[in-house]
Amino acid sequence: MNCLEFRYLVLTDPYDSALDEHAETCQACTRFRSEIHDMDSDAEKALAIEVPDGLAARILLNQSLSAAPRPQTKWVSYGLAASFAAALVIGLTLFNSSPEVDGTSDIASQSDSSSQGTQSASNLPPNMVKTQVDMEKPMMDKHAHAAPGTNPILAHASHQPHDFHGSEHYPIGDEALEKLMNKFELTASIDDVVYAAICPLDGENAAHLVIRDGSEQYTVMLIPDRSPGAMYTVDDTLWRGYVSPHPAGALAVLAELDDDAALARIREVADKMQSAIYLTADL
Amino acid sequence: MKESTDIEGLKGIGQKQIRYENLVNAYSSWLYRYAYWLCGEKATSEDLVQETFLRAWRFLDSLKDENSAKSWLTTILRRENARRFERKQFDYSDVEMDTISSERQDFDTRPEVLALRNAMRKLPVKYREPLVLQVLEGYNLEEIAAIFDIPRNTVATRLHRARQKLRKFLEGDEEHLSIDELP
Repeated sequence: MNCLEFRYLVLTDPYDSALDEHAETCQACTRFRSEIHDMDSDAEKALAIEVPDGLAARILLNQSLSAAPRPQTKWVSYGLAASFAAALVIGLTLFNSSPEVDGTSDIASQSDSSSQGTQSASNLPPNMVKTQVDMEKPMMDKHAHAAPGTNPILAHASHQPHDFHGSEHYPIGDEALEKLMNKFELTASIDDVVYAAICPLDGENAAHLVIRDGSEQYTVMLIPDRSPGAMYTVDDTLWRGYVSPHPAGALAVLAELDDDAALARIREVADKMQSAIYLTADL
Repeated sequence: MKESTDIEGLKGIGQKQIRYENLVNAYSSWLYRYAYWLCGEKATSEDLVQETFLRAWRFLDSLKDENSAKSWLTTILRRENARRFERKQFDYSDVEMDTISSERQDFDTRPEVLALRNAMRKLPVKYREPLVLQVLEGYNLEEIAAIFDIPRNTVATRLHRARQKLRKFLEGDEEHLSIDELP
C-alpha cells in the first residue's frame, strides 16, 4: 500500500486494519490518520441529537391504536363512513358561515348562559336541541388554572391518545363512529376528525373528538347536561381553551398551543364547534 | 381443536407484540437521530420514525433474523422518507436543522464540533447519509451498500468525498459544500 492508497482508505474507512502496516512505516500518513480519527470523533459529537422524551411510548401507543380490532367488515365501515359524511355535507355551509371572531374582545365576559345558549340554539334544527339545564355542580371556576388532575375535563384530555403524528389522518374507529352517528351530528369535514369516542367524564358520557385544523389539533368535548353557565377560559400549563355553554350541555375546546395568538384561534374553533355539533340523543 | 388453535393464535399475537416492543425500545432512538440527519426537522423526524414502526408492525413476520433488524428498520425509514417527497414538494426553506442543536443544553460546544455540525448540515445528503451510518453506528461499507442498495465502491467513494468535503470546510473552504442539496 502506498501513501495515496493509504489516504484514500483512511478517508473511506479510517479504522480498517489494513491501514496498520503502512502506518508503521510512514509518519506523515500516521499523522493524517490521527487527524481523521479526531475529525470522526468530533463528527460523532456533532451528530448527537437529543431524542424526545417518551418517543418509544408514543410509537407503541400509535401501534396499539392502529392494531385495534375492527369488529365490522370493511364494506359496512365504508357504508357507515359514507352515511356519516353525507350528514356532514348537509351542515357544511353552516360550518363555513360561522361568524368571524373578534380576537381582541374580552372572551370571558362576552357570554352569559342565556345569550350564548340562545344564539347557538337558533342555528340548530329545533328537534335536535336538547333542553339546557343548569349545572348541578361547577366544573371549573372562571379563568381556571387547575392542574389536569383536579379538573375532569383537563384530566380526561391529558389521557387522550392525542399525539397523532404522521401525515395520514387516523380514521375514526368503527365502533366509535357507529355510536357517534346515532348520537350527534358534526358539520365539519370527516377528514378533519382524527379521533372520536364516547367517554365517561365526571359521571357523564361525553363526546370526545380530536379535530385537525391545518397543522394544529383541537380537543373537543361535549358533556351533556352540564352547562357551565358562562363561557370561561382554560389556561393550564398544558391545555388552553374554552368551556362554554352549549344547547346540549357544556362544550370544551382545548389545544396544546402556547403562542400569543393561540387563544384567539382556539376561540374561533370553539365558535365554529358551537354550531357544528348537534346532539340528537342521549350519549 | 379450535380452542387450541385460538390459544396458539393468541400466543402468536403476544409474541409478535413482545418482539415489536423490543425493536421499538432498542432502535427508536437511533432511527430518530438518523431521520433527523435525513430530513433536518424535529417533527418530521418523529413522523418518519412513527411511520417506520407502523410499517414494521405490518411486515414484522418478514423479518427472519433479529440481527438484521436495525438495517431492516433503517431501510424502511429511508423508503418512508422517499415517500414523503413523493407525497409533496418539500419546501426547503422550512428546514432549520439547527433547531434541535440549539435547544440542547448538554451538547458539545467546542468550536470544532460546532463547525462540524454546521458542515454536516450543508453536506449533500448522498454524502451525509453514509457518513452518519458509519460514524454514529459503525456500519461497514458492505452494510451501508446493502441498505442503500448500491455497489460497495460507490459507498466508498461517497464516504471518501464526504470526509474530503468536511476537511475542506474546516479549513475554511465552503465551496466544497453544496447547500443546494440540503434535504
